[in-house]
Amino acid sequence: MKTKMLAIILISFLGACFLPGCVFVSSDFRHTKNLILDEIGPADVDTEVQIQIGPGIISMGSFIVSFTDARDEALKYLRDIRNVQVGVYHLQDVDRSRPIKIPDKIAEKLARKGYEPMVKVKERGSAVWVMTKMRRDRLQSLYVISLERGELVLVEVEGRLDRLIEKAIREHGFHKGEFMNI
Amino acid sequence: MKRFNFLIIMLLIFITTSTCLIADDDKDLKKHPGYVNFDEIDIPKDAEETVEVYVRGPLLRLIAKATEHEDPGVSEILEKLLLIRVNTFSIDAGQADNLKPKISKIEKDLEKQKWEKVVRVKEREELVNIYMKLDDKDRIVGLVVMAIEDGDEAVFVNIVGETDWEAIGKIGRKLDIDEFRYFSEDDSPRKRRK
Repeated sequence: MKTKMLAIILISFLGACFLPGCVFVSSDFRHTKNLILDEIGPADVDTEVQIQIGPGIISMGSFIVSFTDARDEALKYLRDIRNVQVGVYHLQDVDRSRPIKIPDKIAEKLARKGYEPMVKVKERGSAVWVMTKMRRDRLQSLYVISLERGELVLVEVEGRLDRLIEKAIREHGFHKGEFMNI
Repeated sequence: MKRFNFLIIMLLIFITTSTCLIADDDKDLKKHPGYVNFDEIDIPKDAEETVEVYVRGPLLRLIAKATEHEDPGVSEILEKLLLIRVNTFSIDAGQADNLKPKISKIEKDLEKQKWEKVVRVKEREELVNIYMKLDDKDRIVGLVVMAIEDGDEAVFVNIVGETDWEAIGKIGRKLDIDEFRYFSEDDSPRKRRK
């Protein structure tokens, strides 16, 4: 029985990995990263994390989590996520004479995908953008870009995010700091 | 092949209509009496620090819905709002001088459109103007804050939608907008009238 279960998990995992939209980030996501890196100028870039967690892996994750103690807590959040893309890039030898800036063409590019800027913050040595995509009154996607001299982080989350945020705020509170920029 | 063409056409119709809906929302918002156009206020390209917040009705309603148990007061306020727009950026003395005539022009336009000036602070290095737009029933339907501090920063805020004095104070505290300190319960016109 145990072997059968393990085989199912393994096959599902491998299947999920080879489904389109899983593991490897989309070319569009990579293009966004490249546009930002072009703006920074010559620098050594180390990819720390670059992953896409598509519907296949999420379903797989839900399946695995359902055997754990945290199943109730985790499953209600996983149910509302459809796709996640994350990129974390370590930057070295960045030209200090250039300002840290997320180029405006990123906003234009994401606007073509239906994203609207919600928060754009630029400080000395760092910049953060939060873009949202709404469909009717639902928050469909969230795109976060965080750029510092030493690191670039890109996150795109798609799903029923209104429900997800609602649950998160209801259960963990709406404290200043966590949602300060909203 | 026919089916493929049909799918492509349906997809194009969907993309076009959804883009039009977003554009229509923006058009409606710009026609709202509480909306103020800050397009003339360009954020200097070399500004070291900038914050731009643009949260529209649907997202505000989502936050309202999510916070209705945690903070029912704030939730009720947010539900009625259509837009919160905040632009702050660092400026030097020269940029402050360039901004002043632009602020004067916006002020003139606001006065023409019968906005009420509720706060005006003019000190050597600080200028704060707060205007409110009231509807026929004396409800606040728009609010504008324009503030500059020479050699420090400029702040432009526009809140669109039905709100009241105390609510603005609460939003200011929630969003850390220092200029909204004038909207305390004690300074409420209703309280002052008593």
